Amino acid sequence: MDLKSLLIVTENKGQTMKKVLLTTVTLFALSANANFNSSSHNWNMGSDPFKSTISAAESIYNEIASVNGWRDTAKLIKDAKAAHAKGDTAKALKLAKTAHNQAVRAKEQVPAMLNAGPRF
Amino acid sequence: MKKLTTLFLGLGVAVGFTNANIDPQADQDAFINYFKKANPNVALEDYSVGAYALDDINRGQFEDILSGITPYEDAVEKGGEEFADLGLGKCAALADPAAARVKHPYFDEAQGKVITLEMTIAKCYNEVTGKKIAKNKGRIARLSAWISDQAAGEKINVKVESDAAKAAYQKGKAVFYAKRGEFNLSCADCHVYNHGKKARADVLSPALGHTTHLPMYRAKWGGLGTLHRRYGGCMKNMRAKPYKSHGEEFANLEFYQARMNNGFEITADRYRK
Repeated sequence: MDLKSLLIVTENKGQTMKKVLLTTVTLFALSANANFNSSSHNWNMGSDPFKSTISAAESIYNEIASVNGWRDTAKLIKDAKAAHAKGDTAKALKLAKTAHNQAVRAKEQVPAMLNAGPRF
Repeated sequence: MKKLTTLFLGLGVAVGFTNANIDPQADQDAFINYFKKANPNVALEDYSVGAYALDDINRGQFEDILSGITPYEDAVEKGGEEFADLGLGKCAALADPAAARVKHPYFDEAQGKVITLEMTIAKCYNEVTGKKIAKNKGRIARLSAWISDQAAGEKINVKVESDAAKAAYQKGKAVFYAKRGEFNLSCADCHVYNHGKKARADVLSPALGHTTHLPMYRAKWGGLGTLHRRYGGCMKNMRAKPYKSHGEEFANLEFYQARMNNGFEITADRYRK
């Protein structure tokens, strides 16, 4: 049963049920939208997953490198680009994903760094 | 999005610290008490020998090395010759080498930043020779070691007085306790909470006393190196990208660490494994 049919049926069953369903659908739509808009992930893979992944990795890394870059991220990005240039797309994508993952996790560390202090 | 650097450097405001909350003496008291409680049998002055204070066998080997001709003796002597040959004593900031060592690191109000001894040496070297000098090892470490030797026996006395100095101190403190890198480690994770334990074959040194013997000679390096060289190595070990040597982050970190060692004697015993 699609959404339209569902709404028609519920309309026949009364206004209260319709309101409940509309609210549920709206909440679902909003929460799904929020997840897909996360700044830490680029889900728009487009036609070239490598390009979008490496672009997202570089973007986040450049944003945080001076505060909390990880040791190997820049090299992973460089190696991924080199593999892509050589036509090794599988290796290039794997390296790009690793670099992206590192950049995301590094960015996640930053807020706690701002509040860091002793535990004694 | 604005770079996170701005956020990080604006730490004092960002996390709600006010200068009234910043109390370096209270911090040092808590810091020392932590180590006293952890190692009740270690005399406070022994922390200047680092991890060797925690283990009798290693301490014996350390003292054996110091009792002979130390591996850094020639380098320090050469540093003294270079200091004289280059005429670095002409610079007002280095005219009295012992006083220069005791003064650094300090917060320069005019420049609004922490100045390390190596920064002062590099500036003077540039004024005298017109050239730049690498700030981590080699000549600058030899010069810095010789200058530090002149102050052996004197006490560390870092002053954190103005609001701007307190802000720099607070930033250095945050760098010390912040977890970073792929291993999610902070300086404190190794050198406070786990000091005395082993990381592979090496005993983790206590942070208390860290700035008393600098620059240090490390057998691993086969030569002298500055504190910032060591900071860079530590950060790489955490799988983090090191900050720039004698840049703001490391200078503030040194400022904080040195303040935690106020009252400790500067030593010329600069050997480390």
